[in-house]
Amino acid sequence: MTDRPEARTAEHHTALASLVTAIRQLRGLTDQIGPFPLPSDADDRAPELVAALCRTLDVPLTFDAPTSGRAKDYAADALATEIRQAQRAPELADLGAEEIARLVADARRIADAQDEGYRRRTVTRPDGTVLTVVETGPLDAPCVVLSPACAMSHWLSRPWLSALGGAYRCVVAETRGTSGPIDDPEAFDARGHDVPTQTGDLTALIETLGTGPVHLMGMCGGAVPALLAARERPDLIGSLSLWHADLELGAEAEKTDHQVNMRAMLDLAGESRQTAAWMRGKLASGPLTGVPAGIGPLVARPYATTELFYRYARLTGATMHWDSRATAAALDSPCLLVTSRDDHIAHPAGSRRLAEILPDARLAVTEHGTHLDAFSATAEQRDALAGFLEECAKTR
Amino acid sequence: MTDRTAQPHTLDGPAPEQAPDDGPDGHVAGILAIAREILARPALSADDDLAAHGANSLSVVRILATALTELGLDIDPREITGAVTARSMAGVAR
Repeated sequence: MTDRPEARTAEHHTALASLVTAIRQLRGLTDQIGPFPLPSDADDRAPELVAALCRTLDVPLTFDAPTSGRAKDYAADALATEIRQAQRAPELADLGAEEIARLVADARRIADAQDEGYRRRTVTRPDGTVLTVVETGPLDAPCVVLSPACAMSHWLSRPWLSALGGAYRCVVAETRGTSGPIDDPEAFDARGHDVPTQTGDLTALIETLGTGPVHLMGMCGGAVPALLAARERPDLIGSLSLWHADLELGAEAEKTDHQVNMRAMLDLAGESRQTAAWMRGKLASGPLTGVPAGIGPLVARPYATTELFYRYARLTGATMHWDSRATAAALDSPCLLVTSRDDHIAHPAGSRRLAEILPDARLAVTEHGTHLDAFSATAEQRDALAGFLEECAKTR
Repeated sequence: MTDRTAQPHTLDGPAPEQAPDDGPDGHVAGILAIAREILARPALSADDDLAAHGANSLSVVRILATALTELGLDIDPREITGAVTARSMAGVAR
């Protein structure tokens, strides 16, 4: 089937857009480490199309990793999930060269449309670290800055950027050492990665914006540097919201099994690259549990290689150990806390305890919601944020 | 370092009355103690499927890491055929 313009229906466009998105979710990974091998069954139905899209979208993936046996890497398998599923859409099957060429052109347009209104830039820190920053919205609008969980691509924050970008200048930075090419792995260690360093990145970014005081949103583990930044720099941060926060607040705040296991695992993986390699090898020897549909590749990215896993362990281990109680007790800014009763990743008891400690807190606990709903920007979440920002504006 | 083999660990519940058959290498009890603690399942037996008792990829890796650091056992889960249990882990431990 080489020429069938009648077939280029809305269904074809939707299928192609899903595949484009699935491939682009791995752009941050390949930007950092170069070509990455996915299992060979991840392009089994449309190999020519997938290869052409990878080229045009500048995401150098190969499809030659083992799909079974002892050499199978389940982290790579998790990273391939969305591409594997998207390229199996019936609309993308049995395409000829001309149709592929047309779809590649369409894919370029889809990617351009996805990026429309988004600005990408970098902030270079005095130690040489280059932070990747993505923003949207009018430059002169009130500013909202997102502090996501360590090592999470800005793609994960896109629902918030999209939801807020009409009325706000909305900015998200990726954690140090988790974007841009890795030229000198050990420079990451020399430059530091503790919570004060991560916090310094956040405040340095806000200073470069040249706006008035911003509203800062801390998501999951990103709540830790966000809280410290708000405490240290009230001149830069007028108000704070923390979404499904994962903080250390002492024994009074119950933790989930996930928090306990994750911290223990990261403690070991962060000891050295050798230990990280051992841990990653064990972890990737079986299916990764809890990888969410749709955004799995974004969440699984820190497990892609030993170096990324080591960095994730150092960065996230630091936030998981940082005791936020003193910082919270001394915070002058108003703070909105949002979580759900059934967040099985970051225990809602943490947000409840934080609300008790903070001098000026509003706590919103929904009945249902997964941990990653922090990034969903649901109507309920948008309303909660809008109401809080309106209240802050009145009292300012 | 806790000698878990010498002193099988129990948390908030009684250990099973029947002690596990430790096999020639005597690793089962130590691994079982680690699994009971990490999974917070004090009544877990040596032949219980860990996945059926709340284990996920994170907790299994933690069990493997603890077995290495506390018992000196390197366990490759790829060598396990069938359910992942304390006994099957001990069977492939080096």
